Amino acid sequence: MQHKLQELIESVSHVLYGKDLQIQQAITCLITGGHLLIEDLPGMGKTTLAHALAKVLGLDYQRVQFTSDMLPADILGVSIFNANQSEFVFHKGPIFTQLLLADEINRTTPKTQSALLEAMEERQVTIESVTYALPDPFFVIATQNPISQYGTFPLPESQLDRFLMRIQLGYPSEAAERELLTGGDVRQKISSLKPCVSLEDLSQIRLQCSEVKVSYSVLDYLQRIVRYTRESDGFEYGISPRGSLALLNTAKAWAYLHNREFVLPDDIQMLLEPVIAHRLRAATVNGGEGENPSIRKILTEVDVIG
Amino acid sequence: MNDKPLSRTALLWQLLTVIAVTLPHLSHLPVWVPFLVLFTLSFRFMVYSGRWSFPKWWIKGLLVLMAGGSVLASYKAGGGISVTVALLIAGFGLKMVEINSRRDSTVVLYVAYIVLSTAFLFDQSVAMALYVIVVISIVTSALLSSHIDRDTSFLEPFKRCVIMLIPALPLMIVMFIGMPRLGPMWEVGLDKAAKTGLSDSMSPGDITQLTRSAEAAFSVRFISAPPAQSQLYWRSIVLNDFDGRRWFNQDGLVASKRRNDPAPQATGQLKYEMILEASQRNYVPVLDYVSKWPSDLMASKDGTLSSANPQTARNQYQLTSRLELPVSLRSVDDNFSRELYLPEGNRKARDLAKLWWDETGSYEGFIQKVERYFHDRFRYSLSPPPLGKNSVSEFLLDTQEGFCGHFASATAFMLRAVGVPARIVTGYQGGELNPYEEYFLIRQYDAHAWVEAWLPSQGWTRLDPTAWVAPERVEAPADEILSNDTSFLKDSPFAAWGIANNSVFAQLRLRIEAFNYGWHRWVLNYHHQQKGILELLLGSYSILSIAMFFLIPFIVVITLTVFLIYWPKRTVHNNPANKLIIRLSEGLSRDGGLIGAFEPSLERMQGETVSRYCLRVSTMRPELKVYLDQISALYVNHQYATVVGGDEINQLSKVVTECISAHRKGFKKRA
Repeated sequence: MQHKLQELIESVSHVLYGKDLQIQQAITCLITGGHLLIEDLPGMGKTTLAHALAKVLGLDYQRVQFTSDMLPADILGVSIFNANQSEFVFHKGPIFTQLLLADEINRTTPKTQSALLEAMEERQVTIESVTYALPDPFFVIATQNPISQYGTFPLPESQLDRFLMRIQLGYPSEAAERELLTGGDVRQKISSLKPCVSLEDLSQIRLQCSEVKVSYSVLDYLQRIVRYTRESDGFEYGISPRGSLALLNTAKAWAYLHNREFVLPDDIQMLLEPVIAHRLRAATVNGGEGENPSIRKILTEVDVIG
Repeated sequence: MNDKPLSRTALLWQLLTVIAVTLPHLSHLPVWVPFLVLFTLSFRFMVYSGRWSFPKWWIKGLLVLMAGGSVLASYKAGGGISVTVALLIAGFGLKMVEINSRRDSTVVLYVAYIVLSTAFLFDQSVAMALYVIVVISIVTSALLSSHIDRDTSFLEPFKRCVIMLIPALPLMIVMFIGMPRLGPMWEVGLDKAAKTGLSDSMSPGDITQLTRSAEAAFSVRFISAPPAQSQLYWRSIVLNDFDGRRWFNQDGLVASKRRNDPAPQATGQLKYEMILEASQRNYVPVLDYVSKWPSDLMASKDGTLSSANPQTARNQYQLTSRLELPVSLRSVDDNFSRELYLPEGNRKARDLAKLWWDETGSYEGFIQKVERYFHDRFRYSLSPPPLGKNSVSEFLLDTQEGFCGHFASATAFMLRAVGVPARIVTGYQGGELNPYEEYFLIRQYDAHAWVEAWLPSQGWTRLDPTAWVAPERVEAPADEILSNDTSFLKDSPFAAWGIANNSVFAQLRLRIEAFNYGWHRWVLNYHHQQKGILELLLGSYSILSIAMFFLIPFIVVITLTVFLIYWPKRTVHNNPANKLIIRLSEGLSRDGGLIGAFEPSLERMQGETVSRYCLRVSTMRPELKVYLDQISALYVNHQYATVVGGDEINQLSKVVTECISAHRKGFKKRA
């Protein structure tokens, strides 16, 4: 089954040059069954990645561009009075899809944000006391601009926690950029992408991921990291149990993606930043805004063996 | 940050600090100061509990004016250093009402250290030293608690503070032993409180008051064997002049300066060390007759010693005396006009003296006659009847009852009446030997007065008429004789009990006194011993050895502290595979560092996984790649793959050993 995943990575990297690590992280996130948040400046390829992933996973997808005047009904759907039948008929919103691309999620108001995020957690939508289940699988790939940009509503911590991973793309390397400049039209390339896995494949992959073995040594290391974030003075608060569970599950998926039947501490180290950076906040200094939590510090100060 | 309001714990520590720091000053502060502090403390407490609000500016202004005025009034009323301290404490107390932020609190706490140290101006006992140490930890706790942002239990700052102060203790001792002492740069004008001591003049009756005080006058440790109790005459003041009732010295302190003996005799020198209590006077009591004295003291020709400034603090002196009258005191360039002068009055006494002189005709005979007269008819008493206008006549012929002052005064009068130059010497006689520390403690009730008569054959000769009347007064310590007298120490019954009874209490008292003596000698007057101690500790006395003396303890303490702080972070590796990896890391890094300082270390870093470590090392040392790949695979299998193999550890151990030895060989080759 792993060769299919490799194929998948291969296809996406034809669209997004030189970002193999991020692509692998994103796929890890999706096969674990979590939602993905891509954060970077405009024009770095966030939407490209999201589009490509939707295509190669073979899921039916919807794209929503978030704006500041959006209302929850614009996503969830709305009941409209049908004059012929003299009754209200519910028109499903774009959220009723297997993969939702929520573009620039932090451009919209908290009201709309929370409507989406609630649906993400419950995997169902309740409108006028009728509950509609969302399709299975249901993934959200959200993109956002860094909060220091104008006209944004930063996501609160409780909602950031709903995303399994937050990845950043960063500038491409020289070689990748050259490839991008000389290559053809990206949009055309995306539309020409073929699905590499089926729904059955996906559920099988998820089953096999959960069978990846985790030794006590790795669990010890994971718990040392968690304890460090909770006890160190460097952080305002530590990793939640949901966070440590997320770290474990993604590590398993990562090991699976790399053709291994057991998790290594290296897997955890690779995923530490995307999985926990958005769940932590560095301790405030002088009452000001906390700086980015130093994941590097965790990596160097927590002993791997022990 | 500094304007953050204080936490509840910090405020409570603050209040405790103010109380603890003010307490030792209660005895000498003007009464209103403790009340002011109490008022401001309760005010602040009411503010804290939310019932009152912070005072308005005019209330604060009023308080400041009132406190300032009161301090000024106390100062006008005559008060020395205690008024200054009162000002400090008043300001300190007033600041309490407006303490809110960390900055206020820091100011008050820094002042608290100063206020605390001023307690030593008034009391330097062991108890005070212990108390100050405890309060230092309280003030430091308060300082700490104001810097802890989260909520803490009340005792937590104290615990932390004790942990911080304990490493400071050895440094304190080192500093105490080694730091050079600076002489006082200014004189602290201590309160001129009425202290007991000898007065500059004597008219019978004065010394009765003195006899009742058990306060220490000075203590003496003899370096050579101490002389007999009856030889211990401590000379303080010589009274040459007599006005018919009162003996005094019109020259004041130093009549004429005495020089050292031209040829001091080697034999019979008694060296001793004296700790003199603060007497607020200039005289320094010395054992008759002083032959060597420190250069900061002045000796006068009548054999007395005095200091340039009043003795406002406890002082220590090294002195040498001889029991025989030295040559420098024997020569006479005087016609004895003062020592022979007798004013009108006391006719009967004068007649009696003339009669006896005619009967005996010699100095010795006359003195014997007087001695027998005293011995046969007089009685020693501390509460003699009052004497009228012709005091000497009345005493000699009627009352015939008195103490040293009376006897000395009458004897000197009789001698002068027949033309023998005579003067009164006041000082102390005897002293109590403390068996535990081998020193003599001389108390105020050991005060004594005796007579010196000029005999042409011998020079100034000491005559002690008290010994004629009550020889035991001179031969035994004062307390043993005086304790039978009802008026002895009647003001301090507690002291009398301990002194009078040869009981457990007396033993205990001697122990406590011995301890206090040691405290004075070794702690308060340490500067007298410092040079000797340092020479004993360091041998030779060079800049290097002194620097080492300070530096080594500092380095040791700081290293230990750092070690203790970082110790818990080191984890103990119980896992055999992990132990092997540690061994590998140590084995590779031991020689690696020497090859090139710019090369990255071959030691495994904390956050480095074993496989990444092996990869890194094999890129740096390709010749070890064979081993490292094996190690990496074996370790990963054993630790993470959860495949039950069983033999990985043995294999791993083998490969690690091989890898280290290969590394050593490679190292030697390159070297």
